[in-house]
Amino acid sequence: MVDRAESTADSQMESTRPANDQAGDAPLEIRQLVLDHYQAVYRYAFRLTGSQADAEDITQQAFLLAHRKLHQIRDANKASGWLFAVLRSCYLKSIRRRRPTPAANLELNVDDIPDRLDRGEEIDRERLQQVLDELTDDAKLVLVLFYFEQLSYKEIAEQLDVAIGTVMSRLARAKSNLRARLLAKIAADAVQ
Amino acid sequence: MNDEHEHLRELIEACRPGHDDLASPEFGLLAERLDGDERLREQFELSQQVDQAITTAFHDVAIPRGLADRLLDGLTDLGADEAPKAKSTPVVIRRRWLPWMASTVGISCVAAAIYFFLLGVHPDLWTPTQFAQNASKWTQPDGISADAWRNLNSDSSVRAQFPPRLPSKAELVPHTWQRAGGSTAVCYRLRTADNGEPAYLIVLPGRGSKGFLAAPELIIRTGGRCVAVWAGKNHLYALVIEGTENRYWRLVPSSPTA
Repeated sequence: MVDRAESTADSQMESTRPANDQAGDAPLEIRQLVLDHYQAVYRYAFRLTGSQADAEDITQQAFLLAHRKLHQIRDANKASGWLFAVLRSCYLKSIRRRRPTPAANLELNVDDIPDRLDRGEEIDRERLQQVLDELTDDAKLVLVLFYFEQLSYKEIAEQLDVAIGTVMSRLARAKSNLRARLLAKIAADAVQ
Repeated sequence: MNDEHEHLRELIEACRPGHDDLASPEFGLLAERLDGDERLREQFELSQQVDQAITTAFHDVAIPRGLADRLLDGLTDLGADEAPKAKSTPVVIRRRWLPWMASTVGISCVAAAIYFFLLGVHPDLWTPTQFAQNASKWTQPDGISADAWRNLNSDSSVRAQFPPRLPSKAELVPHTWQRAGGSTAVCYRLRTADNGEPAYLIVLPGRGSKGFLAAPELIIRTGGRCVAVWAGKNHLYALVIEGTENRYWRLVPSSPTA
């Protein structure tokens, strides 16, 4: 999965070449790239890792990798998508080294879950992160691609290099799980 | 739940809020059913509204103060401030230069082969794996003298740069050293909280850090020992821990990137 993510980042980089080669735009500079994108990249990293220190670490790694291949980026408009792909690759590498999440953290008491989220329910950012941290890495990735990058299910399939049908079922399951857990959290907080 | 119902549910979940996904042919079935099914439409609209709220929350992350400066500093510290490679430009080679170039390249290749065969790859060129493999051999004590330690400890380039990511509650005890391409790698023994098998920290000053991460990267995890390497400002570090990977993760702070 890691290798696939890396090759996706590379292929995205390749796809950014032609537009600018012809236009003859000035090459991107790392300082400008960091200043233009660090907030979005950090937010993305934080949603994946759930902690400030880890998010900063993989953001730094992503920009370091980006710097090494900076000469290959020709279209500044596509830089953010490529940076996100690089970041995902760094994240996948890091979780491969991480100890598995204890199973107890994944338990969900279905009796506590209300029927559905209300239309006007505001989603608290910290509550959202607590719920994301409880999900599997596969679920978290597909949700970040959908909600953060707002990619279509076809684009998600391309990024993760999995079948479209797999993405559709994984996405539906992950969203349903996310909502159920958000509802459970909201209900638990309301009781307290 | 029949197959169509399940497929409709997946299509609803695949529709992004704020995008005109319903107009795409692959959502044709859903668009058609929504026209004639009030309940399904209500379910769809609710899903879109909740997704919009979640999308907003996803982007609602506070940015730590000074993050941009830290990122730029980090790039500089790790040697990333070198100019990136320029786009390769076509080079016109005149035919009369070809024999000269061919012989020069040939001689260079032979010289490089002899150099690498006799001396091994220079530490400046080591990859993380090569550094881990070498560092793994540098933990054997060689009867280091007290005077030698005093000299080493007076070397501020080594002493002043303890890495930020040591196993928690570890105490460093000078253990041995190793000459490596003009530098001195110093090996410290770690007195760890678990009082288990030995663990060592190796500090190699003044080496290139290309390819190294800023946080420990576990390179070797077989043969009864784990070796992680990383780069700090002007130093490479290796953490050699005798024992299983489980022990490594017990000793090293357990963050996704550490």
